[in-house]
Amino acid sequence: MTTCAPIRLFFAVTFATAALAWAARAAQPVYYPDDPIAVDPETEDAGHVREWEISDLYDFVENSFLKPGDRTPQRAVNINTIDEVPDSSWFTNRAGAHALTPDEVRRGPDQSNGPAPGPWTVVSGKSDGITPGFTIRDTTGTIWFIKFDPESNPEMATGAEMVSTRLFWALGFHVPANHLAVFRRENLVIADTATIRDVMGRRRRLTDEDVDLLLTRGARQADGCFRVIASKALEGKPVGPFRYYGTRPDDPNDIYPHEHRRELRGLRAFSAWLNHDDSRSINSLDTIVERRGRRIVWHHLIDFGSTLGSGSIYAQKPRAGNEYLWEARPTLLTALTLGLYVRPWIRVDFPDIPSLGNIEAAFFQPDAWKPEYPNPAFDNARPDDLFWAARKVMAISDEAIRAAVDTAAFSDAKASTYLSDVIIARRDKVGLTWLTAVNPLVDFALSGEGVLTFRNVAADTRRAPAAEAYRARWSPFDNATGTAAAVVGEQTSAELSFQAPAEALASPFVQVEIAALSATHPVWATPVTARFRQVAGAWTLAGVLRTPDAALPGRTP
Amino acid sequence: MRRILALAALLAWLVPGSAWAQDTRAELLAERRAERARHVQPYEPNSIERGLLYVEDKHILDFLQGLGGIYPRFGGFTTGSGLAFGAGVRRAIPGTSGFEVDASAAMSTRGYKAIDFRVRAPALLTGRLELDGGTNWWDYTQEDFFGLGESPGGDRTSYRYEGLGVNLVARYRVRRWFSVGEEPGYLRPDISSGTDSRFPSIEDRFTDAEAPGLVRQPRLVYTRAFIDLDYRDQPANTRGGGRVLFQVGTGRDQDPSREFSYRKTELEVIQVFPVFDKKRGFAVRLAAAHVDPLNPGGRVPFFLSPTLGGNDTLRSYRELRFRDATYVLLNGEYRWEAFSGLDLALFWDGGDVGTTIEQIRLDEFKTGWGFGLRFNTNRAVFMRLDVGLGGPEGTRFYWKFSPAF
Repeated sequence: MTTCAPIRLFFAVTFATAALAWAARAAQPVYYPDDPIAVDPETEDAGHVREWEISDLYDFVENSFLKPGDRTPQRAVNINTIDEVPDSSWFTNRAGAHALTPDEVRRGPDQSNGPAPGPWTVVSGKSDGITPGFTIRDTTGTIWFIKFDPESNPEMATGAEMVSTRLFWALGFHVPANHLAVFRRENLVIADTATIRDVMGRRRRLTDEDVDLLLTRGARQADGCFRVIASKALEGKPVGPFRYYGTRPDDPNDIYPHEHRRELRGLRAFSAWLNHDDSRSINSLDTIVERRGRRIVWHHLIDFGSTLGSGSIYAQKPRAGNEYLWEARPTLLTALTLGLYVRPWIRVDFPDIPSLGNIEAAFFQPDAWKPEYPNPAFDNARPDDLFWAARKVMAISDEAIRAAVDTAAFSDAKASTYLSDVIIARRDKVGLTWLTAVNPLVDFALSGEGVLTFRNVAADTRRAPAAEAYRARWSPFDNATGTAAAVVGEQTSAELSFQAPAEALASPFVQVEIAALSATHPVWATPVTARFRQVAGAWTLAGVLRTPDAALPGRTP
Repeated sequence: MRRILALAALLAWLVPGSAWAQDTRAELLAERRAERARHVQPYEPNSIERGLLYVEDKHILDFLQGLGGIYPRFGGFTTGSGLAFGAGVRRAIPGTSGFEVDASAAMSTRGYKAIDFRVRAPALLTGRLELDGGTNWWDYTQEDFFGLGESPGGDRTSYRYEGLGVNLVARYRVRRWFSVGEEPGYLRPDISSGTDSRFPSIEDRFTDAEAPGLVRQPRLVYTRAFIDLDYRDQPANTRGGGRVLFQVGTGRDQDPSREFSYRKTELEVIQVFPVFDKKRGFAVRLAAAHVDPLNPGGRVPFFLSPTLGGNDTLRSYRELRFRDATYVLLNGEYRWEAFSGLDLALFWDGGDVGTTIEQIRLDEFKTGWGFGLRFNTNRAVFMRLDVGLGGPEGTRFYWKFSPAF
């Protein structure tokens, strides 16, 4: 044997072993026994994650001019095999998972009744930033962040915060417990250790004069009381906001690029619904919490003061939701035509209700809605993401919406009625826009007798007429190779059910492609693919593929 | 051989993505996370983000706005004084209801200098009374003088204008939009040769008869009373409303001759007519002033005469281009918002000076037009670029840190 022989042997064995590894990977099934997963298992300890800061200026510049994140058109990556978002540190399925009662929505994330009765001890003040406020400790030792209404619009920012907190909670996001509270100046005691940051960010001792000055910037009621939002400190150690693209590099559980997370893509529809134009990194917060004996990063949306017509310290500008802060085309059009080009949203009329600011439903166009500046996850949102989001929105009933609005406790009954009506009307527009943009068939079930049933959610929610007919194409499905065999049966029916052909049911996996044939919505003809697995004589839903590119057989359902 | 096989197996195991088949989705995801856990690293912002984080952490923008006590001072001198920089410090007076002291100094590349010291009490008598008093010193090294009245542009000279002033402004707010006030003060001006090497100094071209006050400058005690109807929505970035400011005053020469004692009357009317949610608007301004000697045979110092020309009057003419006892000025602007941080403007300016109001003739107005860019926040124009055209003096550029009107 020459000296080259061991080297040749080494490469030969390496090649063979790598081929075996590849083969092993290729042998991974499309559907595992635990599919579809209901919970994304975040298995790594994230206790070492360090707090980070995100520059507000950089966030604006980067998102407005640099298009960060991966823009490759692709299906959301954190969904399970039936096109749903599993529960995770980002999201908890609520609306649509079960019928939320008005009481559940009214309570939202709250676990208490707000700050305990008795004096509030001010532990720090905040004079910088858009909204002044301070932090208090109640008589039980619980920490609360206090935020005010602007003098020009009493009840506006606090009302928006209350309603939106509950609706974003109902949609599935993690949000702080926000309560309405009322206090008098005499209720405040300044802690010996209390400090305030001045406008230059320097900390110094908090004084009575500082508190008085802060109070001059908030709306005071006729009886001298201040109506405020008391926002309970989030559980866990804060580690800064999250970005809407990429992953947090020091979080081992953060394996999905945020711009491809479905709940963040779907947040575009949710934000459009409630005109959350400030849906950007600065209004999010990650904390490290302990779950099942492991520290993980928990992701929250915070600060809903700029929603539902409120701009926190003034009424939302008519631009909010209609145009980015910087947008070249309308800017140039307006500049070059000496202002003769009139942006359409400028003509929108808003009701003269100071406690609501500027919110309406008539002009609102969900698919044209925009946040303050581009958001990579929103930009990546595809029709299937928005369909998923629209289902969540439509799952919140009129009664639940009115219950959420009730929590704002507007002193003007007209404000409550108007806001409820607007939220309902905007919800219906969201449904109309995005429930009808793709094949809207959902809730597939295959009985032991082989009877397939499903629903047309666009028709059920009265966003569209039912399809004239439905067409089903049945095939056995090979879970090992990810390929469907030749079609063994094709049926057309006006009903929302089909009897599966016996040949299809002979396989452990069966695939059915269902098209909805509608003259008014030709796009529904693109079939949704549902795949069922036979387990102990019963058929369970293993996979749903709604979008054309994802509807092809593949390895990553 | 065993070692070779073991090494090969290890290499194959290390091939990225070569995870051996998992039995469940949960295991697959756990493996991906375990793999990621081996490569986590702290976030490192890039240099641009680090720079912007520094700006935010150190509150540089707040510093530039003067919110932090110590603040920078930009500009503030007449156009043509060169780039001007300075600094100031503003401090609340402990134990008072909002009293503050403010001291600042600035200097320009052409040697202009100024020092100001003010004490303000902004909210006395439950917010109705505002007092603002202090002293200031200035040295403007090369101010322009073209002669009084309809002076030809070829007579451009320069003079040095130094001075010391002490004053107290008291403003009483009868209503939020209506206030009256009074300003007593003392003024000690000094005129000397200008330093602009491009043009002759004032004394080389003009006599004291042609430029009253050139030889002797008065020490003046003056008073000014005013009525101010101010119903602008945002004074620093007006998108609706207007203002009427009427002022009368006298200055008394402390010299026994009382030669330079004067009386002065000024009127300024501003109205902004908003269109489409205040995103567009027409702004008009009418301003007039007249000054005349208080005593028979008296004269008005040329450096206290009303002037036209420059960044906030006739923008197609040089700064201080026209002076006389009287002026009338008309400005019209059409403003429109390009986007939320920038307004554009087309403007027209017209005005004239004369020794009396009767000499002001509309058909003799000096006129010009131009366009401007106004960079603004919600509440204030913080920078403006105006370009004056249509006048006989070529294109005039203005870079200012205040609104036009």
